[in-house]
Amino acid sequence: MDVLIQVRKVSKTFEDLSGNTGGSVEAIRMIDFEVRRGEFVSLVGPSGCGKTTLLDIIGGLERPTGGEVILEGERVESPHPKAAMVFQTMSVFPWRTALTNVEFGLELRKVDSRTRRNKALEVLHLVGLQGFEYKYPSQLSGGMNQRLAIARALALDPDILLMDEPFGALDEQTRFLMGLELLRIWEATRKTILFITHSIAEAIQLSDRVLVLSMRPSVVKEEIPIPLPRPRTIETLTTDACKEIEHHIWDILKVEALKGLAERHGQ
Amino acid sequence: MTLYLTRVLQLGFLGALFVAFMGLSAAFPFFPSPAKVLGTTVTFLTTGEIYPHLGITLYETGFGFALSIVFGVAIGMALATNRTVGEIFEPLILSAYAVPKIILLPLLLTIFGVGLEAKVANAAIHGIFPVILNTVVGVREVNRVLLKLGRSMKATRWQTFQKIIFPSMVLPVFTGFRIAVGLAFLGALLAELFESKMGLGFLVTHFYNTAQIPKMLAVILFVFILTMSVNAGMKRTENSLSRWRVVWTF
Amino acid sequence: MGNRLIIRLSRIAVILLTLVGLEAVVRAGLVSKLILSPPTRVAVKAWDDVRSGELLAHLGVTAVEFSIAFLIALTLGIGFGVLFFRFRLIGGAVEPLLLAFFAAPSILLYPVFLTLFGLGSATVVAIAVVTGTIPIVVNVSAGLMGVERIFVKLGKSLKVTPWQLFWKIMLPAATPTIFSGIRMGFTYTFIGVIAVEFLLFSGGLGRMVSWRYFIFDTEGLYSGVALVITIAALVNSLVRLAEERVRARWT
Repeated sequence: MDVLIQVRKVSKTFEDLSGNTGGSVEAIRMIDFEVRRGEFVSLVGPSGCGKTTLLDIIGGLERPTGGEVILEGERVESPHPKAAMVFQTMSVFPWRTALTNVEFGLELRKVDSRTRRNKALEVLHLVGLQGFEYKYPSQLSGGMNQRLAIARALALDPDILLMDEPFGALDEQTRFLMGLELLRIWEATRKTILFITHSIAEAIQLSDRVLVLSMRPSVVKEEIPIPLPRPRTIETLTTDACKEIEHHIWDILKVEALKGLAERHGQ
Repeated sequence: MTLYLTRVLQLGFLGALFVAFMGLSAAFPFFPSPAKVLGTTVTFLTTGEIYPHLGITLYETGFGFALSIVFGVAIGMALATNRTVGEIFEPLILSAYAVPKIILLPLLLTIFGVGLEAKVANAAIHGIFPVILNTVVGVREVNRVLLKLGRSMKATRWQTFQKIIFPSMVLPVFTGFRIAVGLAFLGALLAELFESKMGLGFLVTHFYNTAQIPKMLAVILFVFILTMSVNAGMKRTENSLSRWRVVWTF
Repeated sequence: MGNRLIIRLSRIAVILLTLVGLEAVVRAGLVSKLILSPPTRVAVKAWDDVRSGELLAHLGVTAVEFSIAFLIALTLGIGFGVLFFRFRLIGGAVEPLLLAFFAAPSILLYPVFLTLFGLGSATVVAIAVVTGTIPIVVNVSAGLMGVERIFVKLGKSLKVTPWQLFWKIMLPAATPTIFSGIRMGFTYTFIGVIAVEFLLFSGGLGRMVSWRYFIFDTEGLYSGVALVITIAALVNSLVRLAEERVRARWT
């Protein structure tokens, strides 16, 4: 199995340009890890630890201050054509139908309209939105809109999906169901997924491996394999083995989360 | 049910105004009764006395409006896309909004003379500010996540503008246009009231000076009905454009 | 901070450059003195106006008319605003009519008041009240309606009297919006006063400008316009400053 994503000694410091807080912010101190083809890896960390920044760097939207990211053997300087991102907040275009939303990336790549249309219909079917092609986002629920965002990403046939807390704004029940949906899509398409979340349960539900990040300036505190069998059902997710992993991760995170709380109070 | 009640109340309100108007005309003998005013308005429309003047005013308004949207959008976009330029000029434009622009009318008349140009210019000046401000807002309020998405898909600058920024701008800019129409109309009318030989504004002063009060009131009533209808129509279009409404939550 | 200073200086530089440009254009004879007065002479005339007390005299008239109009607009505006909030049925019916009316050129109503009150300050005040009241009414009512349900719920759970509910919860919560409406009412009342003074030659700053136009006093005209713009801008920034203070305390 080859390595698709290599994050090598990445660090990121933000220079403060406005001159207000007097100084720079070290968001990421040193992050180093690998993701192999077909893996589902989650990044878990306390709020404000720089997860989004890290994903932006891997996605080519930000430059690291130090270190580098290698995607499919190429150094990342700008968004990689074979990596697609899904964001946490609402990122579908409200003025386009579901179908034309999915076609967006293909439009940018000047794919002809027939190919675009077929691909979009295929992908919408894959994420379970068949029948909703001509609806507008305002007519769809939150969960459906995030599925739409995922469909749009999938339409570009990426090898890698970079997902930044895509289900963060959904309620818990929808979230769980969306997680199952995502796993179904993953198993059908065998993409490589790097998934950010602050929910331990979600990370365990979905991933092969969980990387726990520390508080800012962040490093990888620990890498935890999730040997639970697939498919992950309610049964597998309530076993003792699973609970143990959850406790373990929480123990690590607890320390970091409290540090974050203290810092915010200090400010 | 409530809609029905609302309509009833609105009719009641208008009815009360009508009655108040009647009382006014009883108290002030030279003040015509509302019935007479309405009658005169109808006569106006049928005899066609009003049409050449209406045409002139509409021409001035239309031309002024066109100028205000062309320059307004251009200036608005310049202010919103270029940060330094925006920071320098925006406060100036905001202050200009609060200045009674009618005060510029004599300047326009001095520069352009007493013809149509000054009226068009006045209409344009009145109309340009809401267009500028709404264009700025339209560009600024583009959802950041949408821009981020565009970047992650390697959209070119032109693609970003055409497919992300422009659609986001449609609604606020259209609102700006709606306000601008009313203000351009006002600008044209004010210029005509002040110094003119033709147009609806001229008619008002003319009828006043020749003591034809019913006709004067009829013109005013006509102007009001015209403005309110156009405004309502544009508002309806605005509402139907709601799928362009970018401000929303999960 | 240094950045702000540069911006301020750039703004002043732009204005100065424009004035210098205008000056040059007139002095070079490209534009007739009858059409465009050189800024230097306008400045001198403006200073004269201030010194001679002429500005003050006109300003006084405008100020009095404005104050009366604004006071009436405030009273009517807040009064009806609260009324329309309290009785939503009436408010919901009348407010759209008011907004539709507001889109129309209400200054055009001045001949109506002219026939009623004759030529004088009363007409000016009347129109100014008409234009200035509506934004206040709408904002007071919207502000009160926009108070978060949770605040009202909290008050009721603490068993406050309706009086306390209004004064200690609703009004404070609605203040930013109400104040915005008051600022708009201020602006529109001022615009109304100047506009009618201008059209009717009835006295005050508006009259000062239109009069000078008709007697072909080009320098005086530009001076008058410049003075009115300056006064309007000054007053407006004061009101905006006040609004900012209010907003800062409330958020």
